[in-house]
Order: sequence, then structure tokens, then C-alpha cells
Amino acid sequence: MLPAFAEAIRATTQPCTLLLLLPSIVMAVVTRGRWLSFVAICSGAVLGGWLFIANVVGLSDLQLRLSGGVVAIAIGVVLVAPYVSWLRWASDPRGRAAVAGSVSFIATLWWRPCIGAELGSILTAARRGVAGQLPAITAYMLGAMMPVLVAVLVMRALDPSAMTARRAAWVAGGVGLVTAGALTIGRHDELVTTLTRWSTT
Amino acid sequence: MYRPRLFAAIGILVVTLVIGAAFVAGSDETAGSTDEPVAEVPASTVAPPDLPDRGPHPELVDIDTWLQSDVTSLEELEGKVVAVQFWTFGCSNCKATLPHMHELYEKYRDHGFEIVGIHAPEFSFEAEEANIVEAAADLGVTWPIALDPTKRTFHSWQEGPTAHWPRIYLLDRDGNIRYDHIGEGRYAQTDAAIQALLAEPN
Repeated sequence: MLPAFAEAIRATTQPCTLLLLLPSIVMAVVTRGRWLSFVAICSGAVLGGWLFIANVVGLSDLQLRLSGGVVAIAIGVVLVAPYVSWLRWASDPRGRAAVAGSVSFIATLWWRPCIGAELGSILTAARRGVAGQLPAITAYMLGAMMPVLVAVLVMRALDPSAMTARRAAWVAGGVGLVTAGALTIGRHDELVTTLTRWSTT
Repeated sequence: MYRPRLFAAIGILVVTLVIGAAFVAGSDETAGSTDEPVAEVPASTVAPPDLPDRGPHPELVDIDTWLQSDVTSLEELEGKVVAVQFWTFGCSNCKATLPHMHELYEKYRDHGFEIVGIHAPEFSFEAEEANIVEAAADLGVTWPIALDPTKRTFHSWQEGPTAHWPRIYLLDRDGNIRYDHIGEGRYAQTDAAIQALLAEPN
């Protein structure tokens, strides 16, 4: 399982992991580095990884294009939630952890991983039987979550007052993410094409 | 006395060390399989994998164009062992397999072996034929390429709602699927499987 764990860590440096990683890191930051949220985020990612290799759930290209901004909108709502009366449930640590885990799970639906040797072997073997591959994909998903752990530790190292005093920043960030998410719905392909061209020219 | 920032700093240091160790361990573990796949494990020392007959290959659906080839169907290649690889030129893992595909092509093409790359684009810029031709030249892909812009072949060959790049299928001389692998790696096993299929009576 160590090779799978290591391959996942290397994959975190590649763009194909961003759709899984960015929402999870943002949730770790939004939930202010709480361990309960980190456990929920990892659990959501592992559960999504199991479904991924089971190959029972998948989004079509059209669904991906139409829904590319949904995760951004969800994160934005969580950022704003503590300041909106009808979303106060999300200000409870357990409620936020549940949302964080849900976001990381949902992010796995958009995830199109880089399939290296280890993940490739897991996927190939999973076509013959999923159960035997659950430990390996669990190790892979936990490896992919290592940057989230770093984000948790960084948040815990920060002065708590620095986080609580930035109410306007949380709200502005949330509104910004909701807006960005709404604008990117349906433009997934166009954005990726643009980014790819920028990075190769 | 509880010092959260001290514990967090120690935690960051430990995680950094773990990640660094994982990179080093992972690099050592896979370096041979990506950069020098065949040199690391000579095919002659690897037993061929199980090669069960999974029946005839599915049809190619909505293939737009064939590049670098006089053939326009897999049926025309019956009598040869064929590697069908699903790829797209923007996929880093697909590109990582190409050195090995080159090696296989050079090693076995004169012994009844052919490669067909089915190009199934992930993004719109990968669907433009001019870009594919340019990328094939840049990447040194010399074998036949079938363009699958609608990805109907890509999805009809791969079971379930999610299909993957890269994925390689080996067809025997009768056009039956005998082996497949998703992703990079398993190069020595793929080489051994081709050797075993070429050794089968026609």
C-alpha cells in the first residue's frame, strides 16, 4: 500500500488532482483546521475513492461541463453560512465537519485522476473484484489528502484571533466563490482549454 | 503546558518528512517502470500473465478518420497481434507510456504485431485533427491512429460509467481480447503477453 500512498502524494503536484484537492483544502481552511473536519474530509474522499474504483457512479462529459462550478458554490455557501441566519446549523463544528466531508466526497465525482502505475493496477484489478482493492485505494486517497493535513496544521499554527477577526473576508470569499462557481457552470471545457494553452505556450 | 503552535510546527515538520520520504520511495519504486521499463525487468524473465479469451473485441463506433494508416478497421488486421491503446495527446500518463509503446513497436512490428492508437479527446482542443497530427509528430507516434472525437468507441469498449486513459487491450490473431491494463506501468507483463500471443499458432 505504500507505493499507492506515495504515488498519490506525487499526483498532488499534478493538475489532475486539483479538482479533488482544492475543495478539500478550502474546507480544511474554512473549518479552521479542526481535526473532526479533517477526519470527515478524509472519510469523504475515501468513500468517493471506493465508488470510483467500483465504477458504479460517473458523470458524463455533459454533466461535468454543466456542473463544474457546483463545488465552488457549495464552498462559498459554507463560508458565508455562519453569517446567514437560516444557515446557522453550518456554524456548528459537527455541521461544518459534515459539510466538509460531503464536499470532499462530491469532489471525487468531478475528479479525473492521473492514472499512474499504482492507481492503474488498482483500477485494472478492481474490474475483476473491488473488495480486494479497498485497502490500496484507501491508502491512495489518504496519500492524496496529505496537502489537506498540511493545511490543517498550518491553520492550527495560526493565531486564532487572526481568523475570527476577518468576518468580512469570510463573507467576501464566500460570495466570490459562489459568483465564480456560477460563472464557470457550463464553461469547464473552455476554461481547461485556456489554462492548458497558457501552460504550454 | 499545552502549546498548540509548537505541536502544529512539529506536526508540519513530521508531515513534510513523510511526504519527502514518500516521494523518494515512490520515485525509486516506479522509476524503472516509467523511464526504463524493459531494461529494468527483461521480458524474458517475466512469466506472461493469464491471457483468458474474453471474446471478440467490440466494434469501433463513429471513428472519424484514420491517420498514418492504410487500414480503416481492426478486421483488416486479423492475423496480427494488435495492441489497441486509448489515449489523448494532452494526457500526461498517456505520454508516459509512449516510450514503451515505441519499444514494443520496434521490437515486434516485423513479427506480426501492430499498434492502433484510438485517440479519444478529453477536451475540445484535443479533438482538432490538426492538433492531433502535430502532437503525434512531436511525440513520435508512428503507428496508426483512429480518431474517436465523439468518444463512442472509448466508452463502448470500457465497461461502466467511467472510462480511462490510457488503457491498452491486446487482441490475439483472431481479434479476441486477451489482456488489458489501465494506466501506466506493467510494461514487462505487457511485453510478455505480446510475446506469448505472438507465439500462439495462427
